[in-house]
Amino acid sequence: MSSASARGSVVRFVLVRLAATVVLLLAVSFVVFSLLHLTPGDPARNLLGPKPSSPEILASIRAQYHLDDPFFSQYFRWLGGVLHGDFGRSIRSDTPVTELLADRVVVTAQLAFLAFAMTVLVAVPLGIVAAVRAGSTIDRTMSVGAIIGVGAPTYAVGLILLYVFGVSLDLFPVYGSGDGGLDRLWHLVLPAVTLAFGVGALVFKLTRTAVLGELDQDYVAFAVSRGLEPRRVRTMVLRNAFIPVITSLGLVFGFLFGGTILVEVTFALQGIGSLLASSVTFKDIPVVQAITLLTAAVIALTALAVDLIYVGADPRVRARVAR
Amino acid sequence: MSNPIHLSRRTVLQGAGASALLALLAACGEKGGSATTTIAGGDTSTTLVSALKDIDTLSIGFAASLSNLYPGKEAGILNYYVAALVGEGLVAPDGVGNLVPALAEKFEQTSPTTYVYTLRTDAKFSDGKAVTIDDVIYSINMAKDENISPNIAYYWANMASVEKTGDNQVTITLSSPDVAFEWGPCAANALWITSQAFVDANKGDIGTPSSLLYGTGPYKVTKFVPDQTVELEAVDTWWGGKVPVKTVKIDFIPEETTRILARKSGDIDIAINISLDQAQQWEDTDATRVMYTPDRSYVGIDFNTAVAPFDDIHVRTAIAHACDRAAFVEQLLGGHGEVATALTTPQQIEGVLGADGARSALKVVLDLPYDMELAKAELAKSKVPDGFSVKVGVSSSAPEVGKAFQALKAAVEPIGIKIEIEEMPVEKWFDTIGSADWGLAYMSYSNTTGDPAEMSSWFLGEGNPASYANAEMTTLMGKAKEETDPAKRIDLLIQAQATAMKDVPYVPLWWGQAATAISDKYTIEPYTSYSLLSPWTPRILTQG
Repeated sequence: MSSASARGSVVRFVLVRLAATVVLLLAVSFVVFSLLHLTPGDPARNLLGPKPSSPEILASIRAQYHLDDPFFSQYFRWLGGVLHGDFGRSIRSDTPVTELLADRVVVTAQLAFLAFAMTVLVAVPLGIVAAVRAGSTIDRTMSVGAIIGVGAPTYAVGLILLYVFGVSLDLFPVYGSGDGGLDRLWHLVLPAVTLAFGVGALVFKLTRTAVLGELDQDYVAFAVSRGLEPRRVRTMVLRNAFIPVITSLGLVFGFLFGGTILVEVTFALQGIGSLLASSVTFKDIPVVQAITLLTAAVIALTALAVDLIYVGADPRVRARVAR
Repeated sequence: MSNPIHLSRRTVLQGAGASALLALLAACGEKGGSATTTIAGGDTSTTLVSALKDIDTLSIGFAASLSNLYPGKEAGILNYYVAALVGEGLVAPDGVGNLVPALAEKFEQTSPTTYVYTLRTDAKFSDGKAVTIDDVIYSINMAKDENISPNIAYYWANMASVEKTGDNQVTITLSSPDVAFEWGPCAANALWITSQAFVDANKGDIGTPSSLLYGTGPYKVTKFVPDQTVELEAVDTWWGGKVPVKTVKIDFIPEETTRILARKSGDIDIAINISLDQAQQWEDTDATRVMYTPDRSYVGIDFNTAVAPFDDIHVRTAIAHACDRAAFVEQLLGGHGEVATALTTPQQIEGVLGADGARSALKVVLDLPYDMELAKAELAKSKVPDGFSVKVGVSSSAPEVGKAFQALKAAVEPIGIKIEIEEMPVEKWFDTIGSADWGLAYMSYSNTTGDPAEMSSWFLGEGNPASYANAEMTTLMGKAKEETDPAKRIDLLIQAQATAMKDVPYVPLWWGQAATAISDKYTIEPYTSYSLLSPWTPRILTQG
């Protein structure tokens, strides 16, 4: 098969997956909209809080946000807006959703990337070392550390880091997301470490297991017995162990992007996690829709990226895509 | 009828330089009420002298966040604190709750339904443009518009018209008499003067990061990231003169332990409205003192009298007797509160009756002591003598209320009443207020104004959460709306509450306190529930 037709196959694969992603997002938007519609509570009432109001004021708020329209009419009004690039206005803050989300998406994305980078740069190499030295003191120590990492509550880890590095040693700021650039990076270090702590431990365990599994394979014993250079054997092992690790990293990124809420609250970072939580309880439908769609899109695109990496890394997958 | 009310500080304002007045207010403390501020923690071993000094940046930590700066859109108490620095109404409360001049130099009530305001001539917006009567009229109409200002439109519903009646004069006419209206055109309640040009330029948006606020106060907003930070910078256009704090930086720190650490590290100077649950931790924090003050808040049980078994007065009375209100205050609030005997809080009538007078007047409203024998006897007289089961929804943001219901649940279980407590997000709790699905509910309400009828006019008015009606009570409330003599009006309001409470539609539990943690470099003078509801940085004094 020529390289041009192989490239064509990959492009087709990507296009099909993107089309599937659009269908998925539509389905997610409909399901989330329906679920919010079914939950008890009235956004108009929530807007007024525990205060006296009149039926006229409640009716006026409902009319302003079309809350009394039939369900499908509300959904298609929202969908029509989105197709024209208008995600609507937040009911809680009367601010366009895009304006509300702009800064927050950046904070969450930066936090997720930083935590992801820490996970990849620390947990994967440590997992490999632990597998190669399986049974050694180093392996056992790291494995115990990983169990603690998986089990430790994010909230507690965050507060301990804050106390030690923020207050006692005064190395990092205690809260907030800084003014951008290096200041932002400085502010995000402790939250990213907190976030990476738990998932890093998980990735460490997965990497260790994957590498250990490959090391036990017959082909490794065969290669070693044939006197193959240890460096070449290692490359073979790592390349084969790579597939499950990449899968887990893909999942981890999706989890990091959608799972920042506890870290956001602990470190007073304004990302999309805390906004999603408050918007769900408020029934601020346009905001919930935008955040769930964004998160779903990030997860779907990450999954696509992982698949493309498979295509590059595994000839068997490449052959299947080309067929 | 003519009942001119001249704002009490007018002559002082005319005679003295405004800056000098601010210093005077701050240094001497505003008198009139009897605020009972208590202070704990920090360095209390030496007597420090407080003085008004320039502060470059004051950093403040809020626990709750702001998503919109215009209180007409989002009306949490913290929205009011920020808006008080940027915008002004025609009148404002001073540090102890007296209405004093803001943009109006004076006002007169010329008939039971007519209020005439004379605008001060030196009022300017933060960009130096003069305030006109048209701006005032536009802002009032904006406050009345339920689409633009859903949170405050209610307070303007009774306004029939607003008109320019002189070069510097605006006249507001009400549809029916209501003395409480005095508090309407106030930045602590329902008016912030802005200009039509500003609102039009922002296509009707207000309070968002791209449209901010435009007002006549001592500060302008320089940065607003919703739910994250607000930065304010002093302007030199305020009629009141120079303010001591150049920059006010407010950050939102939702996690209380993080807020304590932020104070420990010196990142914030003041934490406003700290959690009483963690007051001890705050008091133990270095270089920090905690100031407590009654905050005009009310917590009490509501019965929906249209829902069985709470349509039975004996059931309601039994539950009232089972509430150990003194223990709630001592044990759940750590003493930072007061047993409530009425809907009106003492701080709303102290200005007229004094601290002791207020409490003895309110005591007559509800007098059902904690007594389980009486509770049992009342239940025996009811339609459900063997007891019943009921659920109550408690907001997760009100842990002390949850604990009070736990105590009540334990108290009434032996007599056959089973209470199931459902913890819920605050938004879901709103739905329980006055709902037929929740015969047993509670109200936690912070009065915005100093008007003694603020909460009772809702709780004893039409559409009240208890679905309660009483002709005598309605007559008394109607008279109170028209009574312009403050003492007589308070008497009518108390009579109305006492009349209603004979039927026990509500059980007041406690009047609360607010607490603020502050660096021991500074103090707030006076520190009352009104302190942060008008331009308040002149009340921040430097110690030592």
